[in-house]
Amino acid sequence: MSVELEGVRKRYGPLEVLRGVTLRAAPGEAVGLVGPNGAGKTTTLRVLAALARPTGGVARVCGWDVARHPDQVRRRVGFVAEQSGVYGRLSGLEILEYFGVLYGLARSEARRRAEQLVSWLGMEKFCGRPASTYSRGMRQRLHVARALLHDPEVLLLDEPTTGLDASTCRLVREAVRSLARQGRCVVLATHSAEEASHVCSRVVHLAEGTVQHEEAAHYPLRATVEGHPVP
Amino acid sequence: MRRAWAVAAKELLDLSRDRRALLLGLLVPALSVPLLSLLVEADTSRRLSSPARVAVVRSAGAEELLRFAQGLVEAVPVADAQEALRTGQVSAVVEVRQADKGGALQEVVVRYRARDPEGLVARERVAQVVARYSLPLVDRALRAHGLDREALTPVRLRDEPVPGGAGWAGSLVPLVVVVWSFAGASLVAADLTAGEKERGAWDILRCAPVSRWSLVAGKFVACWWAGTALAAVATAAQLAASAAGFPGIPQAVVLLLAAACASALAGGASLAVGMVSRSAREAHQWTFPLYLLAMAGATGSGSLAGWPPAAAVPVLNAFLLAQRAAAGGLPEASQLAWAVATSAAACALLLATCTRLVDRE
Repeated sequence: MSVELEGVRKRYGPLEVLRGVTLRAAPGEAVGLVGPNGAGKTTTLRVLAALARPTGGVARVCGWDVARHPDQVRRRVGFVAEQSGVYGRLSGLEILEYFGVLYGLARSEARRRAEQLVSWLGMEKFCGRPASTYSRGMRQRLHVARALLHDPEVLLLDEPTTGLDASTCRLVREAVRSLARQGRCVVLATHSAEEASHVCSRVVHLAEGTVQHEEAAHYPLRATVEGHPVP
Repeated sequence: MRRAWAVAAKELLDLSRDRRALLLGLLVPALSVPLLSLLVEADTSRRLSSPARVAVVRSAGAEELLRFAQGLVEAVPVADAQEALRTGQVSAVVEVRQADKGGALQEVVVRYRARDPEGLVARERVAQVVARYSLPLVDRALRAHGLDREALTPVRLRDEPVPGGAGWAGSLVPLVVVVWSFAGASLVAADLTAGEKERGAWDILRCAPVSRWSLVAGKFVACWWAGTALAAVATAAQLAASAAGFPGIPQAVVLLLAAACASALAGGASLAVGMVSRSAREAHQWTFPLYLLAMAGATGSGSLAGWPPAAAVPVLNAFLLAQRAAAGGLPEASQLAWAVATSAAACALLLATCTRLVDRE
């Protein structure tokens, strides 16, 4: 299993956000977490990204316990948060190179990988500009590229299409499908059941910090984004 | 180490592209520090060279005394002398008492605000006026006894002022080193930690498999550099404004070292504060008391210069190094070693705390 959550609980002070979430996802599977605001979708992803330590239960990514081996988990996870900031005075390419080095790539390798992803996500026209000039869609593509730099086994996406125009939405959705098709495990949190059923193979409904029910959502897996294979 | 350097290089590149920060970081100390010093120095010199403003309680004796006051005291006409003293309209109130009308003056009472430098100057000036008035009387009395003034002053005091001295502006150099080190390092630290949390960039950095030590070390280098650079610019500006001018290469190196020691502590402490703050504003609120504490320590350290344990107190020892170098001297090797070692130890402790705080939710 790429992702395993067994009775995961998470408490922030008096507020229990997760109340025993159990979830599994295999390689090549795209799982949608759907629920209203406050259901625990983002917290579930933060636990899986080793950003939040569970207060109960066990969370494992690729067999590594997130609480005990957060660095091993971080090597295997790519995370696109709903409201991620960018370093506005650096260009998209510089940001990708920087994170490439942080993920352990040699500088030349980081640059090569960054250029591949820039090309794949159609960012050539703007990737040399300071990131402060990017639109929301451009920023989102940059975050997807950043999350894929180290070729992660698990990709976590939190509301990746919120506020994007139709064409960028389509690009992100097809990218998610392609990644799953290539054997990566994708966990996508969204408040829209429709989006989850379009993108994912399985939809998990969360409410008040617990899994309410699961359902299969068949989708046509495609291995390309705008005709190019995922690098 | 490679990743720590990557974090530091990125932060420095980001900082170097921040035009507003660069402009403020260079122009504000370069212009404001000497301007403030020159204005205060000019004001102090004007107050010292111009006659002291006093209110004189009118009497025949007072009129006689004022004949000797030229250049020393300016009698300001006021309706209520005590009120004028209380409100700062005059620096002192002079009341002359005579034994009998038309006789010699018996007593001159000077009322002044004891904690006011201008009051002290006024009191000194009135004493000089009284001495001027008394001198002919003393001469006359001595002559009546067959003596002259020389008999009362067997030892002469002769003033021989020489050029030099750092002046008021020069005496501020150590404070400038500490204050601007703290300002530079803490502003950058708040932006690189709590500021990134606000912008949503902190989490994506925490997602990367970078050791917490590399992350903290990289950010610390940027804060340290900013604090030292800002202190260097401010100190150079302050030295340019002081009468002493540039103290010499070895002294400049010591000043830079003092700035580096103060910046290291300020950077470490501010990073730790930034890690537990949710916004840059909150970080500034927490850092401000630290800033005041450093200023208070630096201001009060002059009286601790002769106290040996002061050399082992971080920030205080940096201030003492700067004080010595600004005066044109060089600290002893042991003093340097203590300053560097204690600053490094305190900084290491703070950075170790920061690594434990990186993953704080």
